[in-house]
Amino acid sequence: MLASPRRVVRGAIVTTLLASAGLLAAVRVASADIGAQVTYLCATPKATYPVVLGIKAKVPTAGKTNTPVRIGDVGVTLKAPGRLRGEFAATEVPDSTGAAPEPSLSGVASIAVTVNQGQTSVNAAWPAFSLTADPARTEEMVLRGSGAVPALLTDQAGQVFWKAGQMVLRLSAEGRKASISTLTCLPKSGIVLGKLALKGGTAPSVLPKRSPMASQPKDDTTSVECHIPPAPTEPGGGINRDPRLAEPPIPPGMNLSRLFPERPGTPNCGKAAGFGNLGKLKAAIPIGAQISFRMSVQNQVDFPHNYMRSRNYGVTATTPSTGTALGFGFMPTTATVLTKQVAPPGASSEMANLFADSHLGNVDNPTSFPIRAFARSFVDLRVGGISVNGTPVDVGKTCHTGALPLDLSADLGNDRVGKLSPQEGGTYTGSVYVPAFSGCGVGEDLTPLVDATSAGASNFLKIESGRWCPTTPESPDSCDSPEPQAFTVLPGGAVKATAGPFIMRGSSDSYPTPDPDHVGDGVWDNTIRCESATFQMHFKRGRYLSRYRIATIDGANFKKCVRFFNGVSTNVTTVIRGAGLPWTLHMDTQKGPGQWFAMISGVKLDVTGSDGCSFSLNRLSEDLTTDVPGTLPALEFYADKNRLHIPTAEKGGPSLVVGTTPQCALSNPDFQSQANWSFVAADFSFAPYQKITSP
Amino acid sequence: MRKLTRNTIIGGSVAVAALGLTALPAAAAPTSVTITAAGSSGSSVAISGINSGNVTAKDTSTGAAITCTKGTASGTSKLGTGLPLTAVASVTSVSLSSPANAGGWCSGPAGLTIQVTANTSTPWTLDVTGVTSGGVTAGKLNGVKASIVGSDNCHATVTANGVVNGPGGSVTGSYNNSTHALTTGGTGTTSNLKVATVDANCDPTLINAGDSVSLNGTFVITPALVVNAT
Repeated sequence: MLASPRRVVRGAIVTTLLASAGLLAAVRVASADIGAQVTYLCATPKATYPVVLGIKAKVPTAGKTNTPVRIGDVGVTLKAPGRLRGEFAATEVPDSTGAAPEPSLSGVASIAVTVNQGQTSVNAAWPAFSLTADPARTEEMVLRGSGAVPALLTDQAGQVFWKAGQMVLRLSAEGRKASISTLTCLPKSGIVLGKLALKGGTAPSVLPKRSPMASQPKDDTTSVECHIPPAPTEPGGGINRDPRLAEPPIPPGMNLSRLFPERPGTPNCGKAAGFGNLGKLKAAIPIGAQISFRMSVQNQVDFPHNYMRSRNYGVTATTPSTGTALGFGFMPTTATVLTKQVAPPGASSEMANLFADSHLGNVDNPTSFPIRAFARSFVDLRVGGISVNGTPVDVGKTCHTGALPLDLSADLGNDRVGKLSPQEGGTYTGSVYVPAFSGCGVGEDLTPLVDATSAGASNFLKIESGRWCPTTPESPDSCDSPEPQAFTVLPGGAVKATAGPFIMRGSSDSYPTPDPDHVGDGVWDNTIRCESATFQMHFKRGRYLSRYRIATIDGANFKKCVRFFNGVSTNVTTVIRGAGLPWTLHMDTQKGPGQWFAMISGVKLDVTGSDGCSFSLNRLSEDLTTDVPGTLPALEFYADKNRLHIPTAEKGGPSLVVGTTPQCALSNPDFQSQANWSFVAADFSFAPYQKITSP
Repeated sequence: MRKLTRNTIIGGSVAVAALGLTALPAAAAPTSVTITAAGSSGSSVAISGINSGNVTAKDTSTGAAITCTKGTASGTSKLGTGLPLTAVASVTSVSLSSPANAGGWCSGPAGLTIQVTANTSTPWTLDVTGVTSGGVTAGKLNGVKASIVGSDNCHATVTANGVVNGPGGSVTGSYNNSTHALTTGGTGTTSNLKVATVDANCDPTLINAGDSVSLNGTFVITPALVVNAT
C-alpha cells in the first residue's frame, strides 16, 4: 500500500533523528593489492541484511609519482542471505505447481571508494558495477560483477590507500512484473581495500589539512575521511566557548593547576557505530560517525588526586545515513539524513567540545572520581530521500531541523572496573531533542506534520566508538583508525569458567642462599597449586555488545589449594578467596581469527595458609602505600576453543603483588609486600558453551 | 603531553619494582663484588632483561606519567671475584613500548601516546653501592638519557640535572639474587634525572624543562646473576 506524503514524512523524520550521528563506514587495513572483504549492513524498506562485499583487482606492487597506475579489472562479489530474495517474491506469479518461482536477480552496485594519501582523500570515481546472481538457490545469494576503474595519478610520494565507503545496491527481479529495490549499505566491519607505495617526487605534506569544512565542497556528502579540525589559532578552530556547550562541573574536592592557553593538541581520527532507538516507532536504526578531534587542547590537573580534566574539540563528518523503520507501526519508511555539525543558534563556532576526566599518573594509582567523557555539540538534521514502500515522497531540499543540541556521554570506568581514555573507545549514550523542523514539503507545507510528530521527542542514542588514531606527523604511520569493535555473545548469561589445575608462583627461586647451580633453573621457591579454580561469570547476551565490560566475574572459588616450596608440598593447605567482587572482563584487540586479547579488572585474592601466613594479591599505588584492585592485561580469549587463558610471566602474562599488610612470619621475599606472583596454570573453559564472535 | 620520560630503562613497574627495595641494604660501603652467572665462565657474560610489570616514568613536578607495558634491555655483565664496584655491568640497548597502542607507543595521560627512545649511544653503566644483604644489592644506574615524542608532537629530552645536551643521569635501585631482578625507582631511591628540553608542542600542564623525573621498573635478568658485594 502506498502512504500519503504526510505519513511518510512523519516516519522518516523520526528515522532521521536516529541517524543523526551520521553514518560512516569503518575500514581496516589490508594487503598490498586490492583484495578485501567488507561486511555491510544493508537496509530495505522491510528489513536489514548483512552483505559481504568481496573486491579483487591487480595493482602493481609499487608505482611512481606522475605516472598513471593502472588497475586491472575489478571483480566484485556480493554475498547476501537467501532471504533477501523474499523482498522480490511478492511480485512473482505462482507456476502450475502453485509455487512461486525464484526471481532471477540482477542489479547494480555503486561503491563509494576513496583514494587516500597522508591526510588527503579524494573520490576514486569507481563506476557502478553490473551484477548478476548465481543461478543456484542456496541459503546464500551470490551476485557477481566486474568492471574497469580509473587509473591513479598523483605527484606525491608515499603510501596510497583505497578505502570503501557507503554502497548502494539497486536490485531487480527480471521477467514478469519487474520489481526494483534499493538497498543502502553501510560498512559494518570494513577494511582498506588495498594500498600501494608510490616512489619519487615530493614527499607528502605532513602538515595538517585545512579545516574539514573548508577542504570539502559544501555539497559533498560522500566523503567519509577524517579531516583535521583547524587549530585554535586558525579560523573556526578552538574550544567552542558557547555557554550551551559548557563543560560539566569539576569533580568535588579537586584543586586544579594553572590554566594555560589553548594548544594545537593531538589530532585524532576515529570511527563510531551504533544504534538509535526510535522511541515513537519502536525500532532501531544503525548509525555511525566519523570522529575528528583535537585532543588535550587545554588540560588542567590535580596531581595529589591523580586527576586530569582535558578539553578537546572537533567535528564529525557530514555523511548521509539511511535508516528504515515501520512508520506508524506498520509503514516501512526509509529516510536519508544528512547530519551537519553547526554553530549554536546565534553563535559562530561550529566546533563540538569533548571534555574528559581521567587519571593523570600511573594507571595503578587510585582515583576517587569516575572516568568520563562528555561530547557536546549542535547539529542540523537535513532530511531527503524519503520513501514509503519504495514510493518516494518529495519533502524538498530545505527540510531540516535547525541547530539541535546533541549531548552524549561515556562512562569510561574507575579503579574497580578498569579505566579507558576516550581514544581507547567507549560507549556513548545520550538523546537528541528535536524542537522543530522547517521547510519540509514541495507545494504542500509538511512542516507542521513533521513537528507534530517529532517535536519534543527524545530519541535515545547508543554509539560504540572504536580506538582513535593520532594523526600528528610523527605518529605511527601504520595508524588507521579501526572500526568499532562489537561482539555477539550467545547464549550469554550465567557461565561457569573452570581451570584445573590452577597454579601461581612467587618470583624467588633461590632464597636465602643463592646456589649458582640452581639459580635460574625454573624451580621457584614458592608455588600455590589448586586442584581447580572456578569463576562464576555473567556474560552480556546479544549482538553489537561493547568490548568493554562484556562480562562480570561475580564469584571466584579455589579448591584444594596447597603451598609448595622448591617443588615439594609443604602440606600447608591454603585458602584463596576472590575479593572485591565483582571483577570485570573486557575484550581487547584481536589476536587472530576467533581470538582476542582480554583483560580482567578489579582483581584481588586473599590468600591464607594453615601456617598462619596470609596476604593479599592485588596491585599497589605508585607510592606503595595503598592496595588497589589489580588488572590482569594481555589475557588470551579463544572463542574458537571456548576458553580464557592467563599466560605465564615467561609468555608476557600478568602478575599481582603482595599487598601492603601481609601477615606472615616467613622471611622469604615472596611473602613480603610488593612481592610479585604470576600465573603458571590458569586455563579456564566455559560452561555452558559460549559462541562469541565479532562483529 | 605528559611528560615523561621516565623511561628508564630499568625501571620498573611500580608494583613490582620493589622487590627488595624496602629492604635496601644500609649504607654500608662495600669494597668489592663477586658476580657469577649460572652456566657461564670467563670474565664477562652477555645479559638481557625483560620487564616484570609496567615500566613507568613520572614527571614528579606535574604528576604526569608514562606507562610502558613492555621493556627489554641488553648489555654485558662482568664476572669474577673481587671486582671493582664501578661499571660492573653495561647496558647497550633499551626498548620500551606498549604493543597494544598504535605503533607500540607507551601510554601517557588522557590518552596521549608516547614514543620513548633510550639514548644508549654511550652505554649506561651499573655501579654497586651497597653491601649485599639478604640477597639484595644496592646499585646505581648511570648514563641514563632519553628522548620522547608524544602523539601531540611534543618533543622532550631528559638528562642528568636537565643539562641541555648534557650527560646521562643516575637512578638508584637494587639487584635481587633470588628473583634475578634489577629494579630502579621506588620508595627510598633517588634520581637526578630532569627534563632538559621541551618544545612548543609540549603541554606545560604536563611537562616543563627542569622538572624532575623518576623511573620505576623491574627487569628480570637472563642469565641469572648472583651478586655478592662485601
